[in-house]
Amino acid sequence: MTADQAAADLSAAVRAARGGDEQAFRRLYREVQPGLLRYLRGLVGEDAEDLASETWLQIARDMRSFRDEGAGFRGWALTIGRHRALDHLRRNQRRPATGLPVELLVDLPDAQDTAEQAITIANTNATIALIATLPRDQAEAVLLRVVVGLDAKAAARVMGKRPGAVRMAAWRGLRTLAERLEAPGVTPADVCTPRK
Amino acid sequence: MSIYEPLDAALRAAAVPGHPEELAGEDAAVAAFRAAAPALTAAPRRRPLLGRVLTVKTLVIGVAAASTVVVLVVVAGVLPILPSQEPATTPTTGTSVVTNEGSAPAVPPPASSTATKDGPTAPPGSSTPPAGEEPEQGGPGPGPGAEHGTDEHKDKDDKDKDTGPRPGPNEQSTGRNQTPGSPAQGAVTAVPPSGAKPPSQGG
Repeated sequence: MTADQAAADLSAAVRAARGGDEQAFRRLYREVQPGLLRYLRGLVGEDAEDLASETWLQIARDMRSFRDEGAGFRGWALTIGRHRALDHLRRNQRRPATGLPVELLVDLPDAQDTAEQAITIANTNATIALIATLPRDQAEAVLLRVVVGLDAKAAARVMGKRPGAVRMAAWRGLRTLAERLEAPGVTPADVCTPRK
Repeated sequence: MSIYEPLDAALRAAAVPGHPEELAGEDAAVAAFRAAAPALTAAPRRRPLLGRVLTVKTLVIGVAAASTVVVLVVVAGVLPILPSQEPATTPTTGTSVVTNEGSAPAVPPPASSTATKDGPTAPPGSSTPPAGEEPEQGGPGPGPGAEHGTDEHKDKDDKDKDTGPRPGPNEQSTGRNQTPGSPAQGAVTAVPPSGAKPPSQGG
């Protein structure tokens, strides 16, 4: 299924859910929740699951007021989650600690790993934690563009920036991550340490 | 090996489909959706229809009430007769005869009530006696001239009544004080026939 087909399928589910179709809402949840949770985990860390639950409560309540303004339903859900995450960060007055458990980092996939070995919960969480070490705008851009799969325009709407700024932030973030992973003699524990 | 290969593998690991652990809150989200479902389904469909029905009902009730009030007011005689009708009726009812004698404007008695019923064929000032009475006194038709000539003494009495306080030129209001259908009242405002002379100015 291509990206356009997936978007069309999501739009059909949105229409059905707005009409009260419970199964359509389940389909939306299963499609959107993984990316939303990973995005929130990159922003707030361990509190991501609570914020994701609050986000879905608001989505269920405000489903009727949803208007596709270019980012689609996925972008709308991520925008709600982002607002909640920023409120959460303001309340805590700090960015979440980005320390990675060593037991996760040792399993980061290398070039020789097979796809089956890479697709594990540990690797996913380790990568999200690695992305979270980036400056926030770069981390958001990488999460929205690469992990969630939004295009530059939709990601820009979620972040409230221009598409060009999002592309630049994503490029810088990816380059930083690549340098950290490639540097000789770097252990996985070193990867998660923010640059000074 | 490019420096992006490890990164590519890491990002692929982060973009994999959802794990079951990540969907743990599905039931709670669906429960919230179920709780909000009545507002999603019922409200947007009923509001426009309800609004339209209420608007139509309001308009119909308003128009009916307004028309009822207008009809009741007209029937009760509260509204004055339109000014355009006054000059058209006075010459035919002979009110000018009465005013020439120095009294107040002619009072068309009860005839006014009958005039409104009879329409333009029955002058407002001329009484329309019951059928069968007038033809005996005034000839074959309800000729007002005959009535005028035969009931002069009653004419004076009527003029005495006319000098009293009067609400205005409203013919209907004055007509209530007199006996409806009286031939003498009709004589007051009757127009003399073409051959009869109007009363002199000096009395």
